[in-house]
Amino acid sequence: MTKKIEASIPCFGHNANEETAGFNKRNSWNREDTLDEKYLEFLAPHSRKYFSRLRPIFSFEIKSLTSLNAFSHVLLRDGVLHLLKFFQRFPSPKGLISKIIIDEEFEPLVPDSWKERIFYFKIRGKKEGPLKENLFLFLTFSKYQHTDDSIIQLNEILNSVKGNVFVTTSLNILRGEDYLDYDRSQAFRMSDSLFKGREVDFVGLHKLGGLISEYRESSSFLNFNPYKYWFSDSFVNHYYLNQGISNIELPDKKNNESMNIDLGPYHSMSIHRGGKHINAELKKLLFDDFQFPSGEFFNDQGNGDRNIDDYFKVFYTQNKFEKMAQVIAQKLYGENKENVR
Amino acid sequence: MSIVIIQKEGASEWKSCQGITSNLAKGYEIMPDESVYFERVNPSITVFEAHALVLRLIKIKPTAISFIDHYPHPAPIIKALRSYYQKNSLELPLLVFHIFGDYVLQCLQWREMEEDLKEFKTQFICASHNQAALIDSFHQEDECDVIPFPVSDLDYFYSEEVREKAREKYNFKKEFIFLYTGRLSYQKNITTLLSNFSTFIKNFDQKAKLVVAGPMDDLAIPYLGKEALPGTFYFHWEEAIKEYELQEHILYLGDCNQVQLFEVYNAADCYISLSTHNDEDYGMSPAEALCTGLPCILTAWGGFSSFGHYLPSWVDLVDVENRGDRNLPLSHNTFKAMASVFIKKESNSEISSDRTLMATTAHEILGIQAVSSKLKNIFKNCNRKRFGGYTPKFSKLCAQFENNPHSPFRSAQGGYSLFYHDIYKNYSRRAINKEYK
Repeated sequence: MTKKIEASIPCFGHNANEETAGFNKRNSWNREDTLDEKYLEFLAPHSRKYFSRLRPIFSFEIKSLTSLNAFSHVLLRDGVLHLLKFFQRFPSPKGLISKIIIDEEFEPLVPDSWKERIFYFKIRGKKEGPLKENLFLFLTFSKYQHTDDSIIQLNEILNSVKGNVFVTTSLNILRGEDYLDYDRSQAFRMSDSLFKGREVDFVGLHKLGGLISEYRESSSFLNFNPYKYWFSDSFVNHYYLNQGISNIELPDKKNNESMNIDLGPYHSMSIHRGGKHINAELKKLLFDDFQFPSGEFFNDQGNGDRNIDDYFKVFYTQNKFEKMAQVIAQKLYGENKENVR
Repeated sequence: MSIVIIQKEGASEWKSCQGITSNLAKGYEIMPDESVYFERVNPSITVFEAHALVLRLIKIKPTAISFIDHYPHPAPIIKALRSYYQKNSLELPLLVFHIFGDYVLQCLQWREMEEDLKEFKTQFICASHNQAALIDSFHQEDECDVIPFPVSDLDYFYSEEVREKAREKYNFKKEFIFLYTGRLSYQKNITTLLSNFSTFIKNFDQKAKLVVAGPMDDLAIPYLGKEALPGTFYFHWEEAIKEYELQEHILYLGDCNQVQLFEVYNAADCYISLSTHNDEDYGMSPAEALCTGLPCILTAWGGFSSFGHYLPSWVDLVDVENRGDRNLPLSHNTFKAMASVFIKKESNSEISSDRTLMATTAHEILGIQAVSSKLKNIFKNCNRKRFGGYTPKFSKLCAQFENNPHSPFRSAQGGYSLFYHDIYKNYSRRAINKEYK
């Protein structure tokens, strides 16, 4: 099985390296436009580019599906929202010869027409284990990112930390919506409920390096992303893992074999063919009731016209679509609360 | 004398600089017959904070002020000092600057305070002879002193017991252990090291191991405007290990703390670095290795050449040649040096006493006590002149940074410019023709 995955997702050798080098020259085959700029900035620092043989990209950056044919495979860094939008934009892989790698937990979202093209990834820290004495917490404040349930879940984690908690935060507000004060006030309320009466150190991302080298062996990190709504593959995870700090071990649902691709000295991604995450209830809701990806709930066009120069007028998705994606994300993770992400 | 030491609040981002600054501070602290005061300054010091600092300083009435950190740049403090002292007709103190590898990178800030500096008597101190030659080429009249960055005698020494325990911990049997510690970066010629090590194990000793300790970084070649995505260095590291079939011969320990480094220096048989990085003004890692009695193979480049000067019996310098537009170590010299250090160890039954002697000798030159005595001599010299200004070469250097801040040394063909090779020409010197004053 592993050999079959290696053949489908070739990561080593001259041809693969040439493709990866070509992929990284992003501006020559997929020039960044206003929409890319807006959403990459909105998702920063999670959206920061990094090097990987798996060729990571967000699907909103893809202008034409066939442009991906220059590469044997790409990895979509999408969260639930943008992955749903991707399948809506491209209901079938017509004309595509490349393989697409997505987060393994998104398996229930894949339409039948795409099944043969899709592989799944899971990020693995070589030092993963139970929560250690200290915790480096990365907290993203953004709409649809948290619910009351997820705040309770995070509170429980914080209660179990015996040592220091180093918190790095990111307030992600989409430009053009920053006149709305809701996100900011939600961030304050959430901070208040999480950190009131608790001793935590707030640290900027650029100052983490020194602290991590001091506390590396006695700390775990958590990039809290309870519903994987906006992103599944975050630069922040790679940043912490590359520093040799351990992630909290996730319960693994083992089934078939996988291929491991090292991304640094301390972490890798395992790639497999799926079959781990089956959610019959969600599949029924999504494909039978909602008629995904062609049903009326999915006819949102956003304002994805890439020729518009005005940063504030470009929207990849509309509110109705975003809210529906939130329902699906919560269904995806609702029964799965033991999973800390 | 009253000496005020200025250092940054908090630790440096650069690991080697953390040790350097704290050890230098200790060197000042133990200087006999001097009153030494310490002032910590905000890394992004403002004019107001600089002024407040000067108001604190005048209460001490320092005869000298010494800057022992590479950051923040002293310019705002010097400006505030000059302004206050001259307004109040006070006698200006001597300014002592310990120069780090980023002097060239900070040239615009040094230029900014030229007129202020000309009012002061100054002493620039470099950690190596080649760096002193580089800085001298930028200064009109002043000559830099050479005082190494000190190594803590308590942190690094040779111990047979530690060696045995560490070799057991890492499961080293009788194999010869080459060691590299420091940043793993394009700037340090790590893939060149892997290629040379591969030649050694294929042609000389198939059991040898290369132990590597340090954080990986993705700084590409900023002077040429070349950048790399995070994770790129690991890709090239992995590719090189596969290409040279070194999977069984490399042990990567990650970013180690001081205690782990102390253990692995003791466990190893030879330290090796083939770096030709332009900021290689000293070499804290080889200095620590030498202080644990570990023989070194180093490029005859930058600050490394001084170690060859201090400890010629234990440091093998590999000449550097210009290949393409890069400075690289000569491969056959590297191989010869590796073979020679291997044979020397295999034929020596007195390793323990040899390493103890070497560590002691290294501490007599590079230890905190030794550096403290050299610092003391600086303050004995009463015949100093005021700063004489910069040379035309320095002005040209500044113009490169001003005109091309993202690629100051990039030639029209995309490689290093002739000007780059000109200013760093002293870095490939073996001969040390300058002694302590």
